[in-house]
Order: sequence, then C-alpha cells, then structure tokens
Amino acid sequence: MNSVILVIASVLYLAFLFGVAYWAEKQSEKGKSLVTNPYIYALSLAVYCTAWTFYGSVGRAVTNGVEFLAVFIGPTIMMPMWWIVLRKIIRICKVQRITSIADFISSRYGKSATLGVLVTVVCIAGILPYIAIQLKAISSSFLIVARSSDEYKGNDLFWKDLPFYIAVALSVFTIIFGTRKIDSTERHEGMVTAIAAESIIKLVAFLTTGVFVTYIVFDGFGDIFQKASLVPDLRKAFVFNNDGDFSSWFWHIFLSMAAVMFLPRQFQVAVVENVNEKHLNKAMWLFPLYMLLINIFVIPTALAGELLFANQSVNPDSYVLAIPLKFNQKILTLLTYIGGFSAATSMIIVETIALSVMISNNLVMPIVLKSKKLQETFKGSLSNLVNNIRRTSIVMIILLAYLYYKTIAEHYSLVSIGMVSFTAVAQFTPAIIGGIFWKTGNRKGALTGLMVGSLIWFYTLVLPSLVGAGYFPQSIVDNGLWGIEILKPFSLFGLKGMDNISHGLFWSLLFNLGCYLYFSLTRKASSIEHNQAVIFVDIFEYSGQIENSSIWRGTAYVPDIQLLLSNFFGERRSEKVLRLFAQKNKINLNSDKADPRLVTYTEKLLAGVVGTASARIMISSISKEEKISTEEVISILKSSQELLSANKSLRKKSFELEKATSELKDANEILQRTDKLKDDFLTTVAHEIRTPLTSIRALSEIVFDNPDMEIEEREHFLGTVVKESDRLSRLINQVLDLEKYESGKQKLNIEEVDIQEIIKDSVNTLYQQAKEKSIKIVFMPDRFAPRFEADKDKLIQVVVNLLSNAIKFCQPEIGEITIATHYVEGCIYTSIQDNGVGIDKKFQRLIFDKFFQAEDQTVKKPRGSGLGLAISKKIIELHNGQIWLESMVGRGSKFTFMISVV
Amino acid sequence: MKAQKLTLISVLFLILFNFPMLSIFNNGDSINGIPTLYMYVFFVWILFIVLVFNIIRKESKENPRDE
Repeated sequence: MNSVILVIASVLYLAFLFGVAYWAEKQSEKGKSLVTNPYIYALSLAVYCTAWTFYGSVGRAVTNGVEFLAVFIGPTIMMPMWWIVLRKIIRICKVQRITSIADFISSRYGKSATLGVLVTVVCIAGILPYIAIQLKAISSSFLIVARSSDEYKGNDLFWKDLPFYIAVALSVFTIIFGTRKIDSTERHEGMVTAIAAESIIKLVAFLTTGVFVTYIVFDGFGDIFQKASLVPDLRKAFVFNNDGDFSSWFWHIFLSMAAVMFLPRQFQVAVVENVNEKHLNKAMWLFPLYMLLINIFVIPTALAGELLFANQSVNPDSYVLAIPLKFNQKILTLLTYIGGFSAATSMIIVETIALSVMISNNLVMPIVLKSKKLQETFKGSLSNLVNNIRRTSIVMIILLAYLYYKTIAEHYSLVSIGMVSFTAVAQFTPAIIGGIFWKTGNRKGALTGLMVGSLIWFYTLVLPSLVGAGYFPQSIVDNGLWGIEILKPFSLFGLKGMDNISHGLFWSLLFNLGCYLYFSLTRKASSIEHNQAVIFVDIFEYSGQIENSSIWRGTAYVPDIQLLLSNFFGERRSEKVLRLFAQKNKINLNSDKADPRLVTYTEKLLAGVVGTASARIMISSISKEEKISTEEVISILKSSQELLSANKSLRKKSFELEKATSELKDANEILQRTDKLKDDFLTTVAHEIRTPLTSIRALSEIVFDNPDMEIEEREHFLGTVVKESDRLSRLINQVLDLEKYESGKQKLNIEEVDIQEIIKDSVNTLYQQAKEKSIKIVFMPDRFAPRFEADKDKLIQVVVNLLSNAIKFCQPEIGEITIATHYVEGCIYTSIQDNGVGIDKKFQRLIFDKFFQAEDQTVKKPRGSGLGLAISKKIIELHNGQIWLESMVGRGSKFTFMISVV
Repeated sequence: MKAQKLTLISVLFLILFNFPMLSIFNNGDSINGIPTLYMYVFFVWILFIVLVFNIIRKESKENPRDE
C-alpha cells in the first residue's frame, strides 16, 4: 500500500483523537460531562490492551500457545476484588488529593519525599521500554504495510524516522490535553474520552481482522484447528507441555493482577480519573468481557499465520497485518493498521501523562522547594513552573522512549519487554496492599522492600536485555556476575526451571515482601507515619471527617498561607478559595495566626497540584509544627465523627417530633371544629324547638285561662297549636333523619325509577301550595332519559324540598318555576329554577350546611327548618351524585342535581 | 455481603483457571476440532462474566443506592 496513504491515515486518525478530546472538553464545560458515564470508564480501562495485545499476543501464541492469555485472565480474576481494593484506593486518593502512584506510596508512609523519588524512578525505568515498544509497533506495522508496495524505496530518511514524527505529534496531544489544568486532581475529560474511543476502534479492528481470517480465509474455528493439528509443531501449542508451563501460567496471572492496578496508566484511568466509585460495578464485568472479545481470534489468527506463512520469514508479531495484506485486502489492512496505531497511541498518551505528574510532583518539585535559591528564582510563578516541568517531562519521556527504541528495543519482541515492565510495577504490591490493610507497615519497610525488589528486578530482567544489546559482556549472563555461579541472572541462587519473568518476579517480590515485613515489624514508625497509616487503613470510617477535622498542630500565619496559595492559583482564585473555606467552617481570616483547619486544607489543596510530599515541604517551610500523636489523631477523628452522628440523630429526632406535633395540631383543630359544629347544631336545634314550643305553650295557656273564649277564636288557637306541633315533630324527624344519614345508618330502598314520574309526583304534592300563591310551574322533560336504579321516595323528598323552597322564595302572582331534566353522557341532570330573590354568592356554598339560614336570620327570615338542603345533599351523595346551586341576587336561583345512571 | 460474594468469585476462579483444574483438560483432545483446553478456558471466562454480571445486578436491585 502506498506509504503516503498510511501517513495521511495516521495524521487523520490523530486529528480525530484531537477532535474527540476537544469535543469532550467542550461538552464538559457545558455541564454535559461524558465521563460520568460508567461505560466510558470501563472502556478507558481497556488502555490495558496495548500494541502488545494487538500484535504481540498473536506472536506469543505461536511460540507459547495458550500462555499469552494469562495476562488477561489475571486482571479478570482481579476485577471482583476491585470492589474491596481499588475502591479503597480511590477513596483514599479523593480524600487526600493523591494523583499518582508515587504520591500514593509516599503519602501513606509519612509523606516521604524519598519514597516518592524511588517510586518515580522505578516507574520511569520500568515503563520507558514499554513506551518504546509501542513506538516500535507503530513503526514496524508501518513498514510492513508500506513495504508491500512497489513504490516504497526503504531508504528514504523521512519514512525511516516516522516513529519520531509520531512521537512528536503524540507529545503535542499529551501536552494539550494532559497539562491544561494545573490541579491534577481535576480530571482530563478530553483525554479519557479519546482513550475510550480508541478502545472501541482497536476492538473493532481486531475483531474484523479475526472474522476475516477465521471465516473468510478459513472455514471457521474448527477448520483452522483441524488443519493446524496436522502439523506436529503446531499441535504443541494446544496444550501445556510440562509442569513448568503451569507454573509460568500461575506467575503470569499473579503478575498481571498487580499490573492491572499499579501500572501508572492503569492507576491514572482507574483511580485518578474515576468520577464515581459506583462505576466499578459496570467495569467489573464489562472490562473482562472486553478482554475476552479482543482475545477470541488471537489463537486462530496465530495458527492461520503459521499455516499460511510456513517456511517464510514473517515475524509472528505481524500476522494480524500480514494475512489481510497477503489477500490484498486494502481497506482491512488499513483498518488493522489504525487499530494497532490506536492501541499504541492510547497507551503512550496515558502513560506519559501519569509519568509526567510523577516527575514534576515527586522528582523535581521537592528539589525546587527544598532549595532557597531555586525558590527565590521561581517566586510568583510556581504554577507556571509546575506546568512547564510537566510539559518538558512529557517531551523527555517520549524522546527517551524513542531513543530506547532505536538502541535496544529493536532486539526484543513486544511481549517480553512488556512483561519486564509488569514486573517493575509489581514491586509496588507489598507497599500498597500492605499500606491499605496493615497499619504497622512503615516507611523503612516500604523503602527497603522497594529498593531491594527493584534491584533484583533490574539484575534478573533488565541487565540481561542490556547484555543482549551489547552494553555489558555476555559472561554476566553465562557465568554470573564476577563469575559467581549462583549470581547468574536467569537462575539466581541456583533456581532453575522457571521462565525468566516468573524467576525474576519470584525473587524480587520475595525479597521485597520480606524486607517490607521485617523492617515494618522491627523499626518504629514516626508519628506522621502512624497518622497516615490510620487514615489509609480506616479510610471508610473517617472519609467524611478528614475533610473537616484538622490533624495538624503548630503555628502558621494567615498571610503566609495566602502568599503560598496565590503562588499556585493566582491571587484572585486563592483568595476566593480561602474565603469560601473560612465561611463554611466559621474561621476568622483576619486573625494573624492561622486556624489548624486552614493549614490542613491548604496542604491538601497544594497536594492536588504538586503532590503530597511537596505540599508537606511547603507547609513546613511556612509553619512551626508540633508533634501530634496517633492517639490524638484517632481521638480527633473519632470525636468529630461522634459529633457528626450525634448531630444527625438529633436532627432526625427533632424532625420526627416536629412532624408529630403538627399532626397533633391538625387533629386537634379538626376536633375543635367538630366540637364547635356540634355545639352550634345543638344551639340551633334547641332554638328551633323552642320557637314552636313557646307558641304552643302560649296559645294553650290562653285557651286554658279563658274557658269562655269564643269558639271560633278557640278553634283558631287550637289550629295553630296543631300546626306548630306538626312543625315540631317534622323538625325532630328531620334531625333524626339527618343523624341517620351522617352516621351512615340510612339505607336506600333501591328500585327502578323514572325521573319524570318522580317529578310529577313531587309537583302533585305541592300543586296546592303553588296554586295558592299563583305561581306557574313549567316542566320540560327529556324524553330520552332512561329509567335507573334509585330510591324513589328519597328522590321525591329531594325534589319536593327544592320545589317547596322555590315556591317559598318566589313572589306571588309573578313567580315562575321551571323544572327541567337532561340526559347527557350517562348522567341525568335535574334542575329547578325560580325567579325569586336569589342567593348571595358568598352563601351559595354554605347553603347546603345544616341550619344555614339560622345563622343568617337577619338577612332572610327563616322559612323552614334549615335542614332540608342538608338532607337533600346527603340523599344525592348516597346516590353517588352531586347537587349544586347557581344563583344571582334578584334574578332567582337554579338548583341542579346530577345522578349517574351507568 | 457484596464484598464477600465478589471475593469468593475471585478465589473460585483463581482455582478454576489454574493447576490442577487446568490439567484435567490438558489432554490434547478436541471438541468439534477445537482443543479442550481452549474450550475450557473460554467457557470458564464466559461463566465468570455472567456470574459477576448477575451478582452486580442483584446487589444493585437490593441496594439501589449502590448503583
């Protein structure tokens, strides 16, 4: 394929990465952050799969069979444990504002600057070759594709140095998206999104090639395996051939379990860039699934390559590209090339960012801060300094990797160098795992363990590779250092029968762990180490308190703190930050001496920028610190925790109390209202009863006292007495009635009724009354109204009541009452309209209350018991209907009741 | 509870993925042409994913605040 096309594709791809990262940062500025998505988190973890996975796995499968899978099965097995181990690390880093693995270890062991330096050095030494092989993968994949074309001359300087230009482009990307913000606790959202996108691309590319090889070139998995099984050499790859294979398998699994957490790039995406601990839930199964998918076609591709290129000198590391090339699949070749390119670039980008933070925070800054002279030089521009150090180190790392690639990496396969890097970071395991679960682990132990471990790592794994490249005499590997047999790097202390990696891992980790345990148990830890140990190990107990309590004692001055912060954040921002914190915690900023909480907070802020060790150096440079014992630390944390929980339960209790009080108040109000209603009712009833009773009594007395009264007069009086008694008994009946309705004792006597009949019967009852007052009654029936189920007598009672009211309030002679029925949508509306005095709007709702008119005697003369409407309303409600009133003063009233017939 | 279940899964699969479990299938036989060792490794891998997926789903149903 034309090499120009390849270059254009590579450049376009890098432009695409820039685009994705830029877009993601813009989205996050708009508040639509993409990294809050757990899928992006899980995909970004796949930065684990580098060019080694993409090209190297196939090469490894050819020589060692299934063994290459160990580095993916290890992380798979480790994933469920992330809930315990990594979640704890994430929480610690968030609370302590830790941004790199060097910072983590240094912070745990008393914020030791020495440990930070050591970890950084091990990381650089371990990871540089690893970055170099990514460059190598890019370059060799480029050459393989380009060489297939006739136009390629092979000696053009530009093409030869392609990795160099790629390295430059990657440095630019990393600088732009990796060092935009000075506070490295702020996340690199653009970078993470770009990495997630790269993960998708490399997976799609590998799967497409895999499907092509397995199903188009060959006839499925079975076909490839069957054909391969005919070749004795390939059959060997189907099984583990001796016990040593099982042991390598185990050690490689163990090694990758550590690597998947402690490789700087993994620590960066899994811990530092983690937005939400709950994202681990999805990652725990999604990441193993990703690794499963990207490995499904590795063995078929390896076997296919061996079958297709038997006896040809094709490097197995390049089968993924060579097979599509052989079948002249241009697009597929390009896709595969881009897939491998993305695998390599994603690794380089994240790894360099992580390393650059370590270099600036743990290597350079402590030196600058310790030297008075240097500090004077950079006074006021420290934040620029930090950023510039990071930028410079990014360029340096990539250039060094390029140099390493040019000088040494050419001699080794992708996997072997990757495994050496894994073994380097595995040295952090005792210090980190011990550090988060074992309070006794101390600085001395971590320091010696790490030092001895990495020395053995260097001796058993790195030195031989330097010998291979010709930097040291071959005799060291063959006869041991100074000719001492037991010092042979590949069989140290006479240990034979293990592969180099397992061998180096075993010895380095054994001594590392041994030293860590021995010195931790025999040496005393300083107070600050103790304090940090407590915070790290018991982080879940205290994470809420560490923010608010101060574990620092001494004297510092507010102006010094202000000056220190403004050095990094600028005057305005640092002032704002301090003011906010002071407000929240009620600290007086105007007092000269700084509150301990303010000092702790400042240290944490600085730690986010320059790392814990450097932050500590700066704080101690402006303050006079006093020792604080672990017991005190624990009691400070405990007391603020107790205070917090006591506060919480108090708040809860008082809330409950408040709720109960308001419920009680409501109940009381209802009670009072009903009580008042009852009183009113009784008063009204008594009053209503007294009126007829008084007249009965008065009239009876007159008749009694005047035996010789005129017979006519006597009859008149007695007639009134009878009428009043009727009224009295009617009233009492109504009261009893109402009581029945209210208590729910009244039962309806349901039968099929016709509304027109009910109205006719009611009108007949009152016909005489209306006629006496010369009131006209008009009836407009709706003939479509169906018969329905109801209590006929009760409905007649309602209509009679409404009608008699209408008659009562109509003027004689001119009065006119219209009764109408309407059947609409399953409901029968019956209205009784008069042209009488009407009812004021404010009484329209009250009118259905008991004895309403009794309260309103001044407005209207009582002409009835005042219970009729209340009873009518109850009857209609018992029929599941409604009754209401429309009225205007002077124009008349219209009562309507509606009953549903469905 | 969740942490315990997940730890158990890790330990269980560390055993399933290692000697001597592997040696049972390390016999050079094949199923439909595919070597039993490969079949076993990938089968256990899929089983792992399904199991973890289920545990997470169940736990997040029981404690929705964890999700």
